[in-house]
Amino acid sequence: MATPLIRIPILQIEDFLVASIQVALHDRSAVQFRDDLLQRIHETKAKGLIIDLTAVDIVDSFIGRLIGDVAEMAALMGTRVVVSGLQPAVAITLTELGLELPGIITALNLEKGISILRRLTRQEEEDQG
Amino acid sequence: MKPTLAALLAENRPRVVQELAKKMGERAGPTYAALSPEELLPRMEAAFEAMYQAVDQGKPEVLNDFVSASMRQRMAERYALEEMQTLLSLLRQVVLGLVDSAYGDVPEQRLAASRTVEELSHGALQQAFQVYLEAYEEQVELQRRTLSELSTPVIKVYENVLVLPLVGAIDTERARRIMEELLTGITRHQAELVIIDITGVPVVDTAVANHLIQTIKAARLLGARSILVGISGEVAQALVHLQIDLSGVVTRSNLQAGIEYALEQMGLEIVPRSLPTGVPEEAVEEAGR
Repeated sequence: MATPLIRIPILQIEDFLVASIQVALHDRSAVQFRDDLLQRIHETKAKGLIIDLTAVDIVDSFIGRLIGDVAEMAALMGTRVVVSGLQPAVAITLTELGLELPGIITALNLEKGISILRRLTRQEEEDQG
Repeated sequence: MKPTLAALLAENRPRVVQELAKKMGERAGPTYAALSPEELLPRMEAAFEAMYQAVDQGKPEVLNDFVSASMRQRMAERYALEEMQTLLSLLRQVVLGLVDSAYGDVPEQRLAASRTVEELSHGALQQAFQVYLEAYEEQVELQRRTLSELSTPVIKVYENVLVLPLVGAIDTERARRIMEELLTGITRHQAELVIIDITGVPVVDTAVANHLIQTIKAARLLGARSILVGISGEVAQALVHLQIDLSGVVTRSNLQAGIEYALEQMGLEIVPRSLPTGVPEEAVEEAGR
């Protein structure tokens, strides 16, 4: 019997999507999460996406890479990705694995993540207008 | 047949103890010299008693245990080992003197008794050294731990700004500690900017540089930007020769420049307050720089 599939809720706040991961993700759930995210980005045309990892204690190479992939894919769809609330231990693990999430914006917490996204989108609008 | 060594010791106990106390008072270092005869006597008696028990029961452990116990008790005193050594050698000397005078005409017994005394005092001395060494090593270990705790201070200098002043050589173990301390500091203070000051790091090689880069990358993952300051000319040369790429890292010449940069990033600035009268203009300029 396979482990039950976990669906991570993805919430919309203004122009942004917020997904807070509260449980340890199995590979299958993680893939489901990625697909859900991309689906929601497509539906909502969100300008930004915040993945909050405050409650995550352990990240393996698969999840680390997956988050990097999601950021790249989202960028292709015109959405900025911010990862917020990484725990020190998780950050150490990721750097040791060589997964430094180079293209991703990071923030200390969800609040700062949102303010960074706001600033970035405002800048873009100014640049365009 | 003469009495046994144990019987001999028991018989002459008061005389031996007196003699021991007298010699000890003359010879020993500051601690014993400061003791009055009344205080000195019980200590000598205890030492003699241990020797006597060891001979009587044929168990050197009795004397060794006495040595260990009194060494541990007096470890904090500076002359502990020196005085234990004096005490043991005087005890040996006095008891041997007794043996000589008692068994002077019975060579076999004299030899056997002397050997017993020699072996006992030798063993006791060894014990004293061992206890001393163990306590010493313990102390060194304790200091090493204190030192490593002192070695990774994370200081909050302003709202959202941390400074990590690194002093001394950085090895892998220390690098790991530094990273942990810094990252927990970042989450605790919710700091957005970290100034890493390596003015006090004498040598930066590939390993140290990699540790620093790793730390900076991990800090970025948390959402904090790092500013590397205090790179000396030599270190800069070494970094370029080793072809270490620090292009992604903001660097500033010294801590002051780093703090100014950090404040600037947050839209802040240090400016002189409105001029009080009588302050020469150069001083204001100096302060503003």
